[in-house]
Amino acid sequence: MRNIRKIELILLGILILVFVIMSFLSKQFLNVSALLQVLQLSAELGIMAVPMTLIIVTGGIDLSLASNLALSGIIMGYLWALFGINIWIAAVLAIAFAGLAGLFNAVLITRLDIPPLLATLGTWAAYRGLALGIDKGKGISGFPQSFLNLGKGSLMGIPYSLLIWAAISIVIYLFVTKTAFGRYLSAIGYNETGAIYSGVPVRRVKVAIYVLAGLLAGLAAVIYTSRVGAAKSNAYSNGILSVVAAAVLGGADVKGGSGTILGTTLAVLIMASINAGLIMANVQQTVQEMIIAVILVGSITFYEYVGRSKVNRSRFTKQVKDKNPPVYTGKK
Amino acid sequence: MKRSVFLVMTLFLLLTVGMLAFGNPTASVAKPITVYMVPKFTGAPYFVACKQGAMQAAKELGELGLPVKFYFMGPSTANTEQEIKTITSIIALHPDAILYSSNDVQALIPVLKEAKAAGIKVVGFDADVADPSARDFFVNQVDFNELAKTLIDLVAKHVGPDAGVAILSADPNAANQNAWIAAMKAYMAQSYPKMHVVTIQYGEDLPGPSFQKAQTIINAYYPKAKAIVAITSVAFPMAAQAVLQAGLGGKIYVTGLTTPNNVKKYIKLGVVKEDVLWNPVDLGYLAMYVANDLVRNMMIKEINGAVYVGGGKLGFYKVGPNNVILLGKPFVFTPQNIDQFNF
Repeated sequence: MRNIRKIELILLGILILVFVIMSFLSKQFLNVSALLQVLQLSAELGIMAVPMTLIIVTGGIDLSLASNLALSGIIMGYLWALFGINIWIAAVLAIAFAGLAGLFNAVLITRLDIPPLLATLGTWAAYRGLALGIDKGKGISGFPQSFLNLGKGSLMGIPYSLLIWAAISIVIYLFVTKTAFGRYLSAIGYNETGAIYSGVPVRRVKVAIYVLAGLLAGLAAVIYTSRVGAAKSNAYSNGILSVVAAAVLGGADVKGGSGTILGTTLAVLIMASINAGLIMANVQQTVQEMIIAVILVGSITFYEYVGRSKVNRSRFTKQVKDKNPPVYTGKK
Repeated sequence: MKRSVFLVMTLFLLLTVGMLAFGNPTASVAKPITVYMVPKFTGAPYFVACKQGAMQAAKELGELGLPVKFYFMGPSTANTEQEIKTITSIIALHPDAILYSSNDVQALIPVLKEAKAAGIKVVGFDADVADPSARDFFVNQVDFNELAKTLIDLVAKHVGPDAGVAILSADPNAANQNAWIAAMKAYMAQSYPKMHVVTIQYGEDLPGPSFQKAQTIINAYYPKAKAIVAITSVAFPMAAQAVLQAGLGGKIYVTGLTTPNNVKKYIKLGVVKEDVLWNPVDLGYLAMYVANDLVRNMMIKEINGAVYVGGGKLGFYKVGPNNVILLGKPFVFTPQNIDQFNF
């Protein structure tokens, strides 16, 4: 178990530190509208990182999310371009399809008992391959302006995509913290067998989060497509590692049991601000990647060895003292 | 003693003040302009060569009293999302011009339009986007049909007019590669009706996947395909390496597009006989001149309804339809001439 409160505070500290350093490096960094423009480019990443966190808390992983994004984007594009379906209806159908793709992952994991890493590694290749097979690299563009406004437009200066990302994070954060669902997730991640015997509906919970992950990948596909103005089979082709990195930097433990939406969201913001700030300070991306790597490895080391929950540890040592007091056997 | 020190100090002070007051002799220098070059990715010799050309042009312009602050920023590997992020962040800095080589025909259109709307001059080089209104000019390295003809003629010469051809490309959405593939197919149909494309594989412009896809071609499609045409600078050396490892040097004809340093080794070993490309140094050089001409509104002339732009030592270039400027013809590197080139 990790001390999540502490990790969230540390991440907040890192974010503030990043802002201070970046505003020294580049005068343009604190230009709010420019910053919002840059941050909105991470909305899809942020949206996918939310369910990824929930899945990692249960000790699973979903590597197929970015491929699902590409596939559902292509499906939306073809429904619109080939069958003349209204773009908004096509978007809803694409999100539903993405949910089905998530359900397929869930079936592989819960019914066929394939480890999540392998199951979603398979669908990672399958969904991307399917997208490529349908589209053959042509891409679909020419969407109506009303649809493109979703990716471009803003409400009181805040881009729609950021608002959607915030809304999803808040709703799921509340759902996970205010209902038993959140405790089910960490119970599964901490000790799955124990959770089963405690009456946690393990299978149903798992199906729910993988389907949710699919649905949100579909939503991210809609936002992505309207932002770049094209449905592409290679959308987010290198994106899944960033999604996992965000969740892990946010304190989610790949061994299961810990992780929060707030931590992950802070992590996405940290990574996006470093990226934007260093470009504005004319630092090459190869250097940026090293900096992100250092932060990632450093924070995980910290979470593992320093950020461990003290409450748990002390209780554990106390139990050991109480139940197994050192007994002097008299042997030499 | 003390007095002389004081005197020297006063003189020095006066001299400094005088220099500041009268200004330096090169006061006629224009205000510097800021130009960002955003390649598809930074880690390839090809784009380093483009950067060299742009820096050379920036230096020349500086010597002419037209200083340019030049920055080279881009994704470390071919990544559309990261290229969009890079350009968005650069827009916040309000440079005078952005030179781009696009990873995607469509996805970069909105961000380039944003740059234009912010008053930044946008010049493409190497790889364009589908919408010409998203940028001011595009410097095209070589005519697509000319390049396709050069490659296919080489295959016909070495393998025969009925050869089965395997194409190793970059990303399935890469604009240049798709245009070349289409042009190659069209030229085959027209000049060598029996020649055919056996397979097209995509190596994503990354060494590992390109190597694997080259192995796929060798294992699954040889001897149906006796020629590999690798049309990205990353994939070509990987295809040559795969053929070398399979011990099929001389049996499978490998050609394609890359910088000469990338395939020197394979040409020396006899696995590769010809490498086709244009001069990427000149490409970067011309793109920088076009950006300067646009920002400073100079060396753009209209003669008899045709627009010409100045390209420094390369001379003037006619602007074609859709504001495309064509750099030149493809160049074939052979074992005889390759040692003269170092990029």
